[in-house]
Amino acid sequence: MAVSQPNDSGPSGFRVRLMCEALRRFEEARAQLLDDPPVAGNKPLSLVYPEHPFVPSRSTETEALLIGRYARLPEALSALRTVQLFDRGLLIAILVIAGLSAMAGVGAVRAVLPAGAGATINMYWLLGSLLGLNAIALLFWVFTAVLSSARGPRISLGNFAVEAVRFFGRKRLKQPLSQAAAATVIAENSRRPMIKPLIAVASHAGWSAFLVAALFALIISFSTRSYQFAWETTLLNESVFVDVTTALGKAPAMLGIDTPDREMIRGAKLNPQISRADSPQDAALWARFLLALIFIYGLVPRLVLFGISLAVFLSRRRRYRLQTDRATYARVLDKICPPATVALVTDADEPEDVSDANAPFPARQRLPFDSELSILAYEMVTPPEPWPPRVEGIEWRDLGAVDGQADFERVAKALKARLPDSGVLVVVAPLPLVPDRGVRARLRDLRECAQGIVLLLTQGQKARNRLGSEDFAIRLSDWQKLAADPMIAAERVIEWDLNYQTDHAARQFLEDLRTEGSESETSAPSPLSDQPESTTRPKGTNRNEREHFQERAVAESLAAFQSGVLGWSPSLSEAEVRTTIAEVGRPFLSGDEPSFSGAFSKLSSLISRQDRSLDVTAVKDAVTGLHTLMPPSFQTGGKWAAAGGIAGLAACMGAGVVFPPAIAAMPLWGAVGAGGGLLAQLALPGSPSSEPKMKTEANDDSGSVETPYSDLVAAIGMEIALLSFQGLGEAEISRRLDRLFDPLFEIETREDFPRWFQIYRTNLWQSLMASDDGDARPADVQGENPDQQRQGEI
Amino acid sequence: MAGPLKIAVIGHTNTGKTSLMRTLTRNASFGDVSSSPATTRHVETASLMADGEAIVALYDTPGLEDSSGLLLHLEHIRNERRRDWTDAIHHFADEKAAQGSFSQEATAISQLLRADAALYVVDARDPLRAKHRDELEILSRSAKPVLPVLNFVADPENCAEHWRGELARVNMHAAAAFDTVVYDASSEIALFEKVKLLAEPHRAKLDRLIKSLKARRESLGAASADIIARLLLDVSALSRTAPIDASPERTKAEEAIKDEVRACEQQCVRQLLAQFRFREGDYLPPELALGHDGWNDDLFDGDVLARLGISVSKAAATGAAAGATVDLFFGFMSLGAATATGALIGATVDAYRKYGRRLRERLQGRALLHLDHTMIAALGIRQIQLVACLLSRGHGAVGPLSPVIPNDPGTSSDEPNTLFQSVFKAVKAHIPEGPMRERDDKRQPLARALKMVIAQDF
Repeated sequence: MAVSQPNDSGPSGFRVRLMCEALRRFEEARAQLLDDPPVAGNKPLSLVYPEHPFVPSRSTETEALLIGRYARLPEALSALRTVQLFDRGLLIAILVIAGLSAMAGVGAVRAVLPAGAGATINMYWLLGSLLGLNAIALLFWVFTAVLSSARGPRISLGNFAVEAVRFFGRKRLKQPLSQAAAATVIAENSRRPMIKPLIAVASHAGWSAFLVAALFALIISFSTRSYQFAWETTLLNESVFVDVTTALGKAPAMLGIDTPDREMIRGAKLNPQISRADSPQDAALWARFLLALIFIYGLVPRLVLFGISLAVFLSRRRRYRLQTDRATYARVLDKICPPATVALVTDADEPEDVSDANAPFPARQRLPFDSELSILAYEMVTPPEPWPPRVEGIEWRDLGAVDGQADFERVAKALKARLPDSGVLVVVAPLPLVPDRGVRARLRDLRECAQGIVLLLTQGQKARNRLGSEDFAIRLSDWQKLAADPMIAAERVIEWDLNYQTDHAARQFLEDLRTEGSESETSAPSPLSDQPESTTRPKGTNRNEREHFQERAVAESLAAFQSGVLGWSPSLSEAEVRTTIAEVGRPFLSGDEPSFSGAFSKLSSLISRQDRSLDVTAVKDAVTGLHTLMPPSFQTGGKWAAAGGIAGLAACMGAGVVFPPAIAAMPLWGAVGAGGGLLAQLALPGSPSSEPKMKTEANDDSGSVETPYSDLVAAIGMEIALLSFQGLGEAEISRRLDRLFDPLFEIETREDFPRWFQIYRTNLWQSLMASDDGDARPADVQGENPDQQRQGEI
Repeated sequence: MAGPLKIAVIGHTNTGKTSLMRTLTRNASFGDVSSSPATTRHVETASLMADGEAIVALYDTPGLEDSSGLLLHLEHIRNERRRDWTDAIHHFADEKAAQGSFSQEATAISQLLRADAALYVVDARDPLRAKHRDELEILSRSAKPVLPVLNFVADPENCAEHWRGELARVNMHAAAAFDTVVYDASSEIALFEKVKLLAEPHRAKLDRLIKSLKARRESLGAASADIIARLLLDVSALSRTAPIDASPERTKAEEAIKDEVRACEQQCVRQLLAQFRFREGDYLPPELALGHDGWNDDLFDGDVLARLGISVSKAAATGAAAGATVDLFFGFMSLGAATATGALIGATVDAYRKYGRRLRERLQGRALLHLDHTMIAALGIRQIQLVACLLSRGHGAVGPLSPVIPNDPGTSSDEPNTLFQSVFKAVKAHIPEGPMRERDDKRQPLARALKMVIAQDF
């Protein structure tokens, strides 16, 4: 590949760093790091500069890594060339300034020198024109340099230059990489540490060129033409000029240049009445004196300052470093120097599959169930209280807590001693415990010592909290699979959180045992035997169907909520609210849960009642009573106290209107109450909120609404939430409601609703995804005494 | 000492060994993590690097499941072959193909014996049980230095103290508390400090690793601040013209800016997640509440006018100075006309650059909509709180990120209020009111200010 060799030996450290910065900008703009493999058509830098190390010697380790990486990129050469072009442009700009200044210097000399042979030059007029302006500009530079050393915006004149270059860059460069490179040169050179010496270099270079050109022009003029030198004054005393000229001559005298004495100075005064002519020697002395003054007081300081500024500028360039804490650099460093590397599998041997994940599920067998059951707590440091659990009709033979080999040997010995009449053993195991091979081995041992085993899984709530609903379901499934190996039928894996021992739950446990036994006696194979995944689910529910139903219902309900509220008229009528409440709840009616449907259909009929004859006293009593049953956040949170009170109305309705068993579904009644309470609020005669009004744009520019609008929306939101959370425990519902409603803000204007709804919807789905416990809903609400159930819930 | 320090990560099944690997390697895709037992079936390795050199080689091993049975098995080997414990364990590991149901344990023990040290991972949420005692007994007889790592210590129901007490009873007095889900940088440093005690020859290398971890942490804070600064400057540049009064066109213009703000925020979030080596789907920012009060279209905003006054006077002074130079050139024969003209031009140009567009729009009965400082600061707070979350999230975490993000500034608690004040101050100091054309020179100072906020508050 033919590679064009550039004239220079290689880019400077500053330009290499600018190249890196340009590539960083380019990567940042495309939001993606450049790939290392070279792209066809791009020449790597190392081919163009084969001997160049690229990484400057004084780079830090991090910077060296970055420069090394960027120098390897195929885009580096293109970026470097643009950087060099623009950086050289700076030098050219300074040269142009110097050239223009030189022309100005010649022009100034031509302006101050009089025309005609033997013309008289006013020495101070010449000095003032050439040195005075320079001196004032120098003072101005010192002034701005001091001023701009304080914190503040960039130097304005520098700004102008930067804007000009930026404009040029935008117009000329079409490629994004070139634009990034140009922007980099401009941005980095216009940073405060760089722009000040740069402006100084340009300024001093310009003035130096001006003075050099002026000096040359004067030398040429003095060499080729004859001039008389004089001074004149109207206002000042003669001695002033003599003293000033003598003082100015001290510096040239020190350098060995002839200077005029006081008599000669006095003699050079221009007097219109007396014609005078300098002798050629005197004229030459005056000419040399003037040239020396311009050189010493004009050019030398400028050249010195130019040198200093250049040194500072170059030093700043040398000290320029990449800002390695930039985000893109951090990503690059992470890529080239990762915190870790992964080597994946190091042992190729396939370990024996000992999980028995595919073990066949055993068919149900008849349990030798009688009134006495043995019970042991498996790997539970602290058995639940009370221990053994109180179940009416069961007399426990307590084998205590079992943890470790010694305990097992003791229990096995005790059980074996009673064989063949050892009876049924209930093994209580915590759900947070991982059902591993160790557990399986112990269960297998126990199975040999007992006529039948029931695996009672406890601490479900703790496991749910720890694992989340999805992993909790997996954990349940793992326990079922594990139980299959020691021939424990899936129906005998029962979940009951013994930390929440209620009479109802105890009866349910007993019923599960008895029902299972009677079914076994019929020896009729249950269809559920082929579906072990769902066997611990509450009867009458299928997890997938229920999930599907719930998702669809929530989605439809949310849609009804949104369209309903958005469709409310400015004068907001009771009928509109009632319709929205009904529409929001309707999607939940089509489930296969009789209590749920029944309760809601009763509510619907209540909602559609037109007589508005609710008993106010009963409502108030119910609100007070049920308020205490609500989750703590409802009781204490000011914004939800009203909603809690509204939900309490459900008790009043449930007691007299709705059929009693439905009240067992406490969370459902929270939802019913949320909707029904709203209606009551609207319906009660004399209630301040009986006619909720919304200030609209028509009657109030602020568009703010009264509290009822906010409450109505929030309560309907609660209605959906509570309907959606059906099946969870009260504590869980409380926790999820907190999570759902706490991030929400108070609706102040009608326009807030879309934003409020969006957050609400997101939170609701998130909390549903986090819950999704299909199995946790008590499947036994039918036939239960509501009072007892309420007691149990408390 | 040549080669990296080899550490076997060992423990009961489902205690978070692979999660520990993920968090230490900052790799959320390492291995498989699930709540089921025996998820890891092979030994998988990863090296922790510092300056491109592998310092520690970590070996993730299958979990020990039946330690009580294994202990009995080892006892049996010991008695049958009349060997001491260490020999029995070596024999067990060497013959791992013949270990039947203990093959998984044999794989783990075999790797333990090949390693220089072991991290024994325990789930500190569970109490110490007999099976853990059996595991500790096996490990203590393997003649390898073992450091217990208490995982999930951020859980309020953890039993870390109980574990420490129980571990002390089996002569394990050094234990490291390190939660693989709720990341704590100081705990990670403390973990490696304790590893140093187990591996004296690797002390210098581990020091380098610790230094590298600290530097990386520092770099993450700075890089995050840089990303947030870019976002804030980008959104501050967004503007649309719209009628002054409410109208569909104005609503459309507002929605257009909102969409742009969302896009900018999404990009910022993506960058932050990538910076911290998390997956894109780990976090979706909730809707930013941009209400009607989030816009600034007030032509005579006091703050704007104050800034404008300062800016214009500077520009006028510069113009005057330039004009004075011209006056001087002509010996002030112009009677200072150039100075006055220069001042006028400077002031006019500067005022027009900063204010002209808005004035022009207002004369046409339209307003220039752009985000005000409050909204920009609110946006900054969201990102800073996300960074705070990312800083304290282990790569072993599998759930979605859910930082507490206020939609309205300074509403929920004292902390956001304080945070809002800090961010607002930084925004006001470094972002001029109104859309800017050139923002690059503001980015670094703003990033530095935000970095300080992140460092102070989190």
